[in-house]
Amino acid sequence: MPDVRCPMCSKPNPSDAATCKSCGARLKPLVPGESPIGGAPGRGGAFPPGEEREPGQGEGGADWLERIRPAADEGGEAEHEALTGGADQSGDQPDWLGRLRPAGAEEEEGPPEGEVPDWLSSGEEGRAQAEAEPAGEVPDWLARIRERQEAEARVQASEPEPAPEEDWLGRLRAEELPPAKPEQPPAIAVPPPAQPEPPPVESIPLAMPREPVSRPVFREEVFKEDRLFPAPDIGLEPEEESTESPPLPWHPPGDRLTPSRGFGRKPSAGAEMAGDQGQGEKPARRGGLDSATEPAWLAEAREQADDELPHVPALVGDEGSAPPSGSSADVELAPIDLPDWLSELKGAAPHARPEPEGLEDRLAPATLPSWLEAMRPMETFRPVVEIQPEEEQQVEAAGPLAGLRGVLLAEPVVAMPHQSTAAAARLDVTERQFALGDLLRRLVEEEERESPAAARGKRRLPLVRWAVAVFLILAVILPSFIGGPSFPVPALVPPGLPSLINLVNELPTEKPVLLVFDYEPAYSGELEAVAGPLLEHLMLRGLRLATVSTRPSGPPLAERLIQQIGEMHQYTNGEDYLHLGYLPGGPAAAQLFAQDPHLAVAGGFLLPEGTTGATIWQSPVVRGVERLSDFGAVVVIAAGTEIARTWVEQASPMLGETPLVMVLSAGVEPLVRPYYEALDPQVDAILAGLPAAVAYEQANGQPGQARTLWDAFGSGMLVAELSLVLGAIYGLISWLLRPGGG
Amino acid sequence: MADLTGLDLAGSMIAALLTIMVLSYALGDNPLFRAAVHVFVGVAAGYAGAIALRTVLWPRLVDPLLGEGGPAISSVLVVSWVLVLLLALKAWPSTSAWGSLPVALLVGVGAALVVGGAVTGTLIPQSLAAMDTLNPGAVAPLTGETGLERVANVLILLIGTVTTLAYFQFTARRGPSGEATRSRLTTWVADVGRGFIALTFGVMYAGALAAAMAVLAERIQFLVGLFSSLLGG
Amino acid sequence: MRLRLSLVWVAVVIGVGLIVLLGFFVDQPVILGIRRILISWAVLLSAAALVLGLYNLLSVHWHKVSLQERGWPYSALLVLCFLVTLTLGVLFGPDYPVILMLFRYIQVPVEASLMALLAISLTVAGFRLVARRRDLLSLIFAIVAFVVLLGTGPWLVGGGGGAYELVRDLRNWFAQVWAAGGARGVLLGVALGATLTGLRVLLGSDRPYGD
Repeated sequence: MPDVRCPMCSKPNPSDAATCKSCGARLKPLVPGESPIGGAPGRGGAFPPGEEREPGQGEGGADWLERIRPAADEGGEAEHEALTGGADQSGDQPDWLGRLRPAGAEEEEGPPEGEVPDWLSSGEEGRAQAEAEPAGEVPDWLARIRERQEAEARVQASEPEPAPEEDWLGRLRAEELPPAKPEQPPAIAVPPPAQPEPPPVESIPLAMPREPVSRPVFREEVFKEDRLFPAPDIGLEPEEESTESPPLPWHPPGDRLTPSRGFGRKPSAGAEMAGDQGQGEKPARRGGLDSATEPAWLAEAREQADDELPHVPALVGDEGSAPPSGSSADVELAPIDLPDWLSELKGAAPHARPEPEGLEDRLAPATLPSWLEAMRPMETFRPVVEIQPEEEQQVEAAGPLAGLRGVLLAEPVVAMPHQSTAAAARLDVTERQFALGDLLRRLVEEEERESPAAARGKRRLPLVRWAVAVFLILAVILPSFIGGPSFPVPALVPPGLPSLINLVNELPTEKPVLLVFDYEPAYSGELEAVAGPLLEHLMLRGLRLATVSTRPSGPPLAERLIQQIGEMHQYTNGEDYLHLGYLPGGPAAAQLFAQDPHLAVAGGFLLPEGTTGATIWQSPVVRGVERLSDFGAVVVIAAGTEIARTWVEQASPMLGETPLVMVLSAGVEPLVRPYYEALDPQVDAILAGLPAAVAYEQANGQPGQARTLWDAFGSGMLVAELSLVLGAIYGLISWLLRPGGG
Repeated sequence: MADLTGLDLAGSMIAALLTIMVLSYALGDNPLFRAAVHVFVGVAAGYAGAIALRTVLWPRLVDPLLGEGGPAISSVLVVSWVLVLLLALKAWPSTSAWGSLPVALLVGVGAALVVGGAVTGTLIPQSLAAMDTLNPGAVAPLTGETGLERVANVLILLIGTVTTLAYFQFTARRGPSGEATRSRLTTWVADVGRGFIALTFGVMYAGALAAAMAVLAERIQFLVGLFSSLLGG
Repeated sequence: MRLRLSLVWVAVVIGVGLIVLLGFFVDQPVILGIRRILISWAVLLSAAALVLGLYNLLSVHWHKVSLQERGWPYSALLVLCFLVTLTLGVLFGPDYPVILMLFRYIQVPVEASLMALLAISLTVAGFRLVARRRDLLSLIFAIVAFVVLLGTGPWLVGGGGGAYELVRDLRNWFAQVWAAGGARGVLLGVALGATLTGLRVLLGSDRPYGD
């Protein structure tokens, strides 16, 4: 069978084990009425069945309990016997749970299933209400519980007072009661120097409140169904005579314990318990069990605790003291030797408090060990727990919960300022490091600092631009409106024009001419005027034209220009000219077209009917063309140096004898001219600028767009030249008139 | 001015309106100019996309499958599809890594074409062209120049070429003061090259201004012509 | 895994680049054939990259409109025009008359007008240059620009005279000799830089394609 893991220490245990071998925690829940299986007295059956623990032997795990046990066992044999009764109800196994209940005690009664008294569900007000209820309205089950509690209290009151040094749990219970007599001595007294001192506050890792924990007032019905987590009485003895809450065993001496907050425990709980059971009676044990209903083992444990308080060493050992031992999480009180400081505390434990008024009907509160409370299902932890009235709760003064009531105090335990015991690490900073750090800090501060918005100065009017624009536009408009000024056509022919004209005149008519339209629509005004006379000349010679472009806007521009020029010559698409379309890729397109025009062209533009991209090369315009050199001439119309250079670099090696003509914008000519002015020129002719176009038109004898623009162009150029002159004069005058002399 | 049909007239008026909206930038930035520019960008981008899709991608990728069907599926076509689809994955950051292959191919082809074209189309021919003979008896084929005039021109061309290249030479040595300085000769040669560059830019500036002036003249003439035709009937 | 994948991409770049580069210097049919296929894939991927870029443009402006960020009405206008043009272009083709009208009456005039604004800006820039800057290089720049402008544009008076011819010759000398020398140097420098950058990519030193 697979091993079972202990819920407390996670150690594996045999599947049939009832308690953990390491820590003694129960692996199987106890059923009320069953005896703790092989358990040490009062420990709730920490041992597996059949396994008797020898005094002094431990199973590992909680060593501190182990160490307690040997000493406790030696002195606790009698108590064990008392608790277990010598023979338990199940034979060999002590019925610790059964002994918690008084013999013949009835099963705990509680309210009928599903019935929850109003005072239970409504909290404080309900409890106050319940207290105010006349006795006749108390439910029967509650009355019976109270009767049993009273009986037990009477029995306990007749028992001798337990030794002060062993009644630490009793003081725990009594701590929850509010101090009815302020003049009572403080709950905690300074222990004698000979006794081991409890660990200092600073070394306590746990944030334990210093105030005495108020005992919750657990209603009996809370535990009615709580079979898994019965509320064992771990021997807490009430301090009937103390008016202040008994201190926790691990609290250092000299600290005054005040009712804790947040745990829902009221200092008055103990007083209420004491009141419930009458003066001098011990407070009710945890779980709200009265003497009539609590298990026998619990009662016996309590009785034993009255006689001999178990020693529960601190969770954090005193200085110089051995760490606590123990293999069981259950607290074994009977054989525990309390440290002297604890016994001092017990000595100063408050006496039983007088019962506060109106609290007679309350059930005796019970305190559970923390491990047990942690295991309690949440639904059992009902708001039956008496919570301190809000006005009595202290207000948190520090930390993120400042201003809230009912929260765990951060101070003074956690936030207690204290000097670090370790030597502070001193950082040696050199001057240079300090300077660098300071520089960094100033840089960061400058970044964070908002720079003031730059003062917006007066916005200067662009008078020069306005004046130039007005004069330019006026100059260009004038010739169109008034017919003048009229500029004479240049008499001087550009040097390269005659060679171009001769070249076109010598082109073979059987070969088509390739026109590359590689300019943007922005330059259409100039280049259409410059390329117009060349196209005119080609059309005059009757040459077939094929257009291509590496720009998306090239094909429509080609159609626009050819339509414009060809209208006069009745050039027809598909017969006299053909658009091969758009080739993307720049240099790649030029290289591909130069290498293999058929592969480069996939789909044309404005193809005539019957012609598709696949059959474009069967058109009569380009029939017979296999490569670039099959064209009669290649005319590149470009407005940029880059595209002109691309065609020169990529296509000129494939041209062979086919001439390459460049039709350029005036601004591009200087950078293309080196290709033309060479012994072995790569460009055979250049036509650039409006003056060359006008001269060409004159040579053709056909006025074109260039001539139309000539006067306006001339006027504009005149204004531009005048602006340069005026700028130079202005600059000279300002230089002469500047402060400091000329 | 030819008679304008209805559509042409409407289109011309739109064109005139847009022209005026753009020319209004001469007065300063304004919403009319921005609106006109945004409209232009939208139309230009849409047209570029349409022409790329219809005249390049569709004929190369889809038409072979629609026309010939199965026999058209060749390895080249399959690889073309794969490359285009991988490149399309570049649109989303999560799948962008898949588009590295087609981009690598594009970059490899482009770099090789640039290198090959620069070497075979510019470096070698232009270097050879710069090494023109200084023989006074030689005649310039294009201009017919000869004699000292030609030699002077050749020298100017050569000096301009060398000094301009020297200007872009920024190798320097660290001097005793720690500053990086070029040799005196290099500095002097570079200064001469700067002069040639300034001269070249002056010529380019004048050419660009002339080109822009021609376009301005064309735009203004278009506006005048349209208004004249509208006013004239 | 990531390191191995990045090595794969580097290998792809180097392999593809070497084949394409070899095609400039080697006339081998096999290499040329593979090179042709690789370049055709590059052309195809360029079109796909264009569409991807347009998707990004749309998403940026769509996001702007969704969150109603500053300037969102302009973005909404852009998105509307983009979607209308793209839809019509994809459905009917880019050579559809309506699309061509959009191109002709919207794209061309706006772009041309933006270029026309450049004339005003360049003129103002020239004025400010000569008015404020007084160093040798600015002087050279201004003088050459003035001479070229004079030689390029027509003269109102004396257009056929000796002065005009002198200026025209001076303009041609500046543009075709002096500027050509500087331009050649610039072209050589650009070519050297492009070669270096391309070689860095082909050798795996630069990885603009990511890991």
